[in-house]
Formats: sequence, C-alpha cells, structure tokens
Amino acid sequence: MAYGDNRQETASDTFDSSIDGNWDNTGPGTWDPLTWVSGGHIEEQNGFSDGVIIRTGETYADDQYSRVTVQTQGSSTLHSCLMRQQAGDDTAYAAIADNAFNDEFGIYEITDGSAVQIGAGSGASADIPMSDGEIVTGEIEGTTIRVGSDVGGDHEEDSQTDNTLTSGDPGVMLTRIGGVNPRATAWSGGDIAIVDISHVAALADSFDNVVQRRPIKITNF
Amino acid sequence: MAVELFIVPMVVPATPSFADPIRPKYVKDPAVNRWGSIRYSTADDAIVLIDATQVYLDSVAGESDAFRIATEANIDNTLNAAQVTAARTFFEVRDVPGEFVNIGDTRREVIRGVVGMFLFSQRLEGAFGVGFREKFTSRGMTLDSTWQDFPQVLKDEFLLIRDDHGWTNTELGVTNASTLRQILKAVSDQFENTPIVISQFEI
Repeated sequence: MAYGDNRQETASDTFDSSIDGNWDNTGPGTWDPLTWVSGGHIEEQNGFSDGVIIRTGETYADDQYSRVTVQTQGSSTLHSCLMRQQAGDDTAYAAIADNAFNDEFGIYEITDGSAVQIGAGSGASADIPMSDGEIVTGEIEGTTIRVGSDVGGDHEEDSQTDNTLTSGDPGVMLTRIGGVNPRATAWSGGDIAIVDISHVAALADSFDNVVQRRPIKITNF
Repeated sequence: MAVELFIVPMVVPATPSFADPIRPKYVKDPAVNRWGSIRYSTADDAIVLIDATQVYLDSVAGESDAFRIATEANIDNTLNAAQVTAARTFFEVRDVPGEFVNIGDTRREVIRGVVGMFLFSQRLEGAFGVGFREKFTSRGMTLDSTWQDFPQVLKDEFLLIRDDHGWTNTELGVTNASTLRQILKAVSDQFENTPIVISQFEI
C-alpha cells in the first residue's frame, strides 16, 4: 500500500491537562521522560537529550502509524514519530523531521539508544523547518518504513526497507540539541489496516481472478 | 544528479548519535542529495542508493571498498561472465555468497537476492544484537560449512529466526548436507515477494 492508505486511528491525545496513564513516560534506557507544559504541550527540557513517551494504553498491530503535531521546531531540534518501540528499551524505529543537523526528513533505527540511519531520502527539504501545527508522520508496513509531513498536504517524504524490528508500540520523541525546547501539541496513532477486496469484486470477475487477488479485509463501513 | 546503487561498508562512530549515526560510508557528503540503505548488519556492508552528482558517484565507484552494482539505466541489464566474476570476487570476501550472481541475471535480480539475505541478518541482529555474519564466523563457520556442522547454539539462533518468519526447513530445503551458502540462498528466496524500497526507489 502507499503512504496514507488504510490508516485506522486507535487513539489520539492533545495533552490538554497532562501526559496521562495511557503513556509510558518513564524514559527507558538513555531516553528522558517528557515534560507536560500548561497550555497543552509536551516538551524536552534537557539539552542534548532525547525525550520520549510511548503509547501503551492500547494494543497496536505490527503495521502501525504515529503522527506528531509539531510546535517550536526551532534550530537544533528533532521531532520524531516512534514505531515498534521495544518494551522497556531505548530501541525503536524513528521517522524524523530533522532541523538540527541536515534539515531533512530521515528514517532511523535506534538500538539501545544508538542511532542507525537507514536513509535520508528527502535531502535538504524545503519543508524543514516545519511550522507550528504541522504534522510529521511515521508509517511502518511489513518491512517498509515511511516518513511524511502535511506541509502543503499530507505526503510521503521518504521510504526505506528494514527488517530489524517486527513489533512494538508507537510514540513520540522530541530531541533538544541547542537552546530551544522542542514541543509537540498533539499525537495520533493506530494500525494500517488490511482490507478484503473479495467483498468488492466486480460481477464480471471470474472466480479464479478473485481467488488470486491479494486478500485485504474490510473492517470499517 | 544521478541515482546509483553500491555495496559499501558501514561506519560505526565511537558514540553513535543523531549528530553522528551509524550509517553507510560515502553518504555524508555535500554532493549527496538523498540516500537510503539496506545493511547486512551494523558492522558489515550495506547496499546503498545514492542520488548525487555523477562526479561524486564516479568517485565512490573508484574506492577500493565500494562496488557499483547498478545505475538507473542498467539495473535491468543482464550480467556477462566478466561482470559476474568481478561481483563474486567482491561479494565472497564479505561473506555474501557468489551464488546470488550468475551470468544472465539482471542487476535488479542480484540486488533483490542479496537484500533477501540482508533482511534475514537484520532480524537476527534485532533479536540478538549481532548480525548473522558475526554469528557464524565467530564460531568458525564459513559459507561452505554444512548444517550438520553448525554448533547447536547457531542452529538454535537460526531456527528462532526461521520460526519468527513462519518458515519450515522443508520449505527452505535445508538438510544436514546443506551448505551455509545454500541456506542463505534459500532464505533470500523467501523475500522474493517483499517490496524493496530504498529512498523511494523501488527495486
């Protein structure tokens, strides 16, 4: 499937009053917890640090997405959508809007806190820095990982292939490098659904043609 | 700008971070517009797609630790005997079986075959923290070692990843007499329907 296809939202949060119990905000491994700020923001307040919250209040499929609404993408910050975070560990995939090092959208695998860059398909992007209220998105479907933004309309910025992590939870990472606290004002996430096309097969289709199609399951009407 | 695919080493900084991550060699250059990779492991080599100036791409191709596999123009061209020999020589010293490169194969077919093996190694690295090459070489195995000669710990690691993918030894065609190079070819074949995307470029 393509970027943006078949997203089924499981949960969302606008952080109106706190980082509530649906989040793991313990900062596993080398990661920091994030700080809630009045006015409905979350932020990383420590320099040279990665602050993380992981969505543990629900169960997520292996094929999932995570969307972070950006605020304060000042110089020297990174806003990241985490996917397939390993419970209790500073290991996950990250789809990153990087306004600190390369002004680009990139895809990383973070292993025990160490960053492994899989690719930077967007190059120096005109969409960086992102403006307040714009959204960075990470999707993972099988071995395909995508990063996108809604700058000028929701679109894919980069896509790569990796097979290291097969399941886990989505979340948010805010990285402060310099003197500005990166913030986020909202998060949403869910599964990338499988849809059954046999329910919409045309009458003219032969039985063999329908059977040979890749099965996708309709879960919503 | 042009797009080309190489096999290059991975670079592991002393303290990997977003400022200086583990990444393939030759991708951090002002001449590079965009890049993507699929690695054997963080300690070995990677297939890398680089979108850069032709001058820069040619300089990478001239490096002794880099091998230009394909360009956008020739990715569906078939390989001749000399090209197969050159590729196999480069691959074998890096413990990538030469069986992935044959006369008449297209460059795309070669890349997909190698990627399949790399994706298997990535899963093992994700589970155990170390790629497959380190696992078998540290235990004295080579590409010519047979399944019956594998130490049990290596068999157990392989079987765990096999089960994680839902494969069986029957499906893989693995017997006690199967060599590691045959096993890696069989594993790679399991990914033949997997979409391979590198920096939005479909292989």
